Amino acid sequence: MTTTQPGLPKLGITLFSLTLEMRRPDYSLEGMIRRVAELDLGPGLEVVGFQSLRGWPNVDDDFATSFRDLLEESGLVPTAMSMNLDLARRRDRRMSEDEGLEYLERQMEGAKKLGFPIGKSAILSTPRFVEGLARITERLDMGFGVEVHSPDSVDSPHVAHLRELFDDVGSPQLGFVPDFSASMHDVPPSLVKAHRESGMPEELIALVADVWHSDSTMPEKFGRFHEEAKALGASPGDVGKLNMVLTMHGRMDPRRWAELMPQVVHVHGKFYWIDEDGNEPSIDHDSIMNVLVEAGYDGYVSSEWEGHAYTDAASGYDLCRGHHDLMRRLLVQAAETAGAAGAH
Amino acid sequence: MEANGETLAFDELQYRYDDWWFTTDAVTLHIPRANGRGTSHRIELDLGLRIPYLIVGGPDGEPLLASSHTDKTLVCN
Repeated sequence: MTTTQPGLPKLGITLFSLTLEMRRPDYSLEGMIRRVAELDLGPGLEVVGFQSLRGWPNVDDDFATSFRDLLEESGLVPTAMSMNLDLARRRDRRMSEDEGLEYLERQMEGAKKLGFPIGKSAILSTPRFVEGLARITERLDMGFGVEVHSPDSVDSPHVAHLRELFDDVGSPQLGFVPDFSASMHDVPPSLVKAHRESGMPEELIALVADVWHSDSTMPEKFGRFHEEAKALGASPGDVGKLNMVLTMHGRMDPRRWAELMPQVVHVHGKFYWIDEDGNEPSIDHDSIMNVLVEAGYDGYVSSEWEGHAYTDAASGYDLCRGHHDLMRRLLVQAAETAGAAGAH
Repeated sequence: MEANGETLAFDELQYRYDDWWFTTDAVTLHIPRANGRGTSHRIELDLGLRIPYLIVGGPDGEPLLASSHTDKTLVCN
């Protein structure tokens, strides 16, 4: 298994990147994990519990043993278990704080049993919830990260409030998981291409891109997009699809991640495509790798290809291979730059 | 709809929030239609996936709706 230099961020993958491959008739979790190891897409392995594990968060002893043995045999390291706080699971009401804590605690126990040191999910930003979560992580001796994913950013009131709450609770086991989706400089060209090929009207694609690039708040963007799309005669289905462009891709300056780094426990290397030059066309990986190296972060970065949300004409394995190559190249550059700066 | 070894009417689905449709499992839609066996039918499916962990529009907002559409001609068996 190829590793990065000591002191640099370590690479890995989340199996969420391989969502298309999970739909193949010959899919098995064991086969997928072995393929990840063969293609050198570790050493870090992240799993989405509800996606990959039937019966999650219930984990029986036999499965836990075979899963741990498989990872050890494959040279992979369990990094983070991706969990859900399904607040809107019921239609008639939202989950209460106590129900939410119990929901996450069961998932943390399942993750622990499988050998994962960190759980990650969205949470409620209330003192009572954060204190409860701190007790769970302490009892299980695990870390927990809240993903900062578009439409959230470092500046989101929700994130700012959580930073204060984490400071108040003073638990080193609670932190954040930056997701590169929050810091993009363009709508993914692969997404535009997919919408175009599916017959999405060109004027709607142009409209959503223009709204996305505008300097306005999210409610203002949604308001303008809906109003102008309606005027163009857009169908509810098309509006729904393009809503995702505004929600799932954020425009934060990637250098702003530096503010969050002291509280980062894991990183999500979100990406949408790797072009023929080996670059990601919509996310400034160069700046982000510099932030990680300058902060001295030596935890894991899970490559997360999310383009499967709109195209099935690609291989998650191949794209993650390209993403690893990109990150490894940029990490070496960032380390050389940091070293040179330190020498002066 | 047939899933997890059970057949449920469309109206019953909203109360089954403790059930999981596992990601790699298929579901079967049964559409009552007399004398349809062996004949072709154009089936359009609008799937609105309410993502229960992504609430948009603030704390009192609604779950993000991921919409998809399928249009296929199938032979009834």
